[in-house]
Amino acid sequence: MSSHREEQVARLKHELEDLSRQCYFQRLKTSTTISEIIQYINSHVQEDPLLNPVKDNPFNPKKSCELL
Amino acid sequence: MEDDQPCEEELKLVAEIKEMKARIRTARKEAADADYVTETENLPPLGRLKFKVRKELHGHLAKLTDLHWGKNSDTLVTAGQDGKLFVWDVYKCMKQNAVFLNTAWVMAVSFSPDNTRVASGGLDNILSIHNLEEPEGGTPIELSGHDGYIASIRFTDASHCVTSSGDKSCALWDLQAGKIVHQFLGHENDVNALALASHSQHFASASSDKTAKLWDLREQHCRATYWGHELDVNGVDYFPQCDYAFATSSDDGSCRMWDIRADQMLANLGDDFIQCGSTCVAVSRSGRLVMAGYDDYNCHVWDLLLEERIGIMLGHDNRISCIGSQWIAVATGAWDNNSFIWTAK
Repeated sequence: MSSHREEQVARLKHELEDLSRQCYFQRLKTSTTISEIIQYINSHVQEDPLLNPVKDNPFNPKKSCELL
Repeated sequence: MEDDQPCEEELKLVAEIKEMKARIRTARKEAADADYVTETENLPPLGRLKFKVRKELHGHLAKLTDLHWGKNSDTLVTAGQDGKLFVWDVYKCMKQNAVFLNTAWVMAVSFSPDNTRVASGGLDNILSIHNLEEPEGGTPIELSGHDGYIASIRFTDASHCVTSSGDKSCALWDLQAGKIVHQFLGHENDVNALALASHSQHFASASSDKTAKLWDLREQHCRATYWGHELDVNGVDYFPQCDYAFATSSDDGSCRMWDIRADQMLANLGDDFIQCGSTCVAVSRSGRLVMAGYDDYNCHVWDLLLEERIGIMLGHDNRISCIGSQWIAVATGAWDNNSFIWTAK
């Protein structure tokens, strides 16, 4: 077998090994994962400055005039 | 020529691989006992969100290719094809530091965890480490190892980096030893982007082979491969609970969220309004918002739960190349040579 074919065989063996491991991963059910994702989002929305703008956001322009 | 044809062993492996992928698809379907759209459809919508440019960072003389927020949300490093890295004090809109690179073709930049160093890489295939405590980054430490361009870099700790490359691999570097200590092989085309989980236990990669992969840094192997995108995957960012999910952006115009624990696609963010590719993606602090940059010069803001486009970030005059969310603000970089800092109004 040429070295090119040997390389192909090695690459394919690696891919098969990889996929076998990925196949036997212990999956959780989406009924669990989706509800936990929704729960995470809902419990963190208050502290998300893009959804609940913070009062003293240093990036936002100051409203009051400053004495120079 | 006798070696043009695959040999028997190869054909057998190809068939086994096909069978294994089918088994993975079946296992994923079996885990899908709840449907995302059904579970989220009764949630209250967010309404339109308005984003405004608060800071404009002018200074690069060529396209921006990458950016990275510093640890305290007050600094940002940008990389441009003028061969420069600028470290910005984003509140004052001023450059704190400038590094003049040995190559103009920089594609990736990253702060070290303590922000005393920045790493860069690009078409030179070299991982360069610059010391910000020395003028202009000092003499860079230049590390070879990749056989292709470096597209993305992140520090896993003070003395290690992961990189993704045009040579189809990702790599873990020991910076003290000055070399790659593990190669993550498996992608079949350029690896355009990577994101690192906040606890550094895993990282996600985005490739031109149309897949995203999740890699375990402790076991040093690929944990999962996510199929679904129809074209190159260009951007990736984790959901704030990094063991739950991560988002990708693709030339196919969609962004997707991948459920790590159920091992499958969760959400598909795309619609007929968007007729171009998405180049980069960032997730907000709560995980509810996904911001993505596109080839049409805009960033669009998506509600992850209702899979609806709810805002647009207008301001750049060319293709958006990079985006980063740092809780209070979002930074974007574009081919118009500028970086903008945005907040929600």
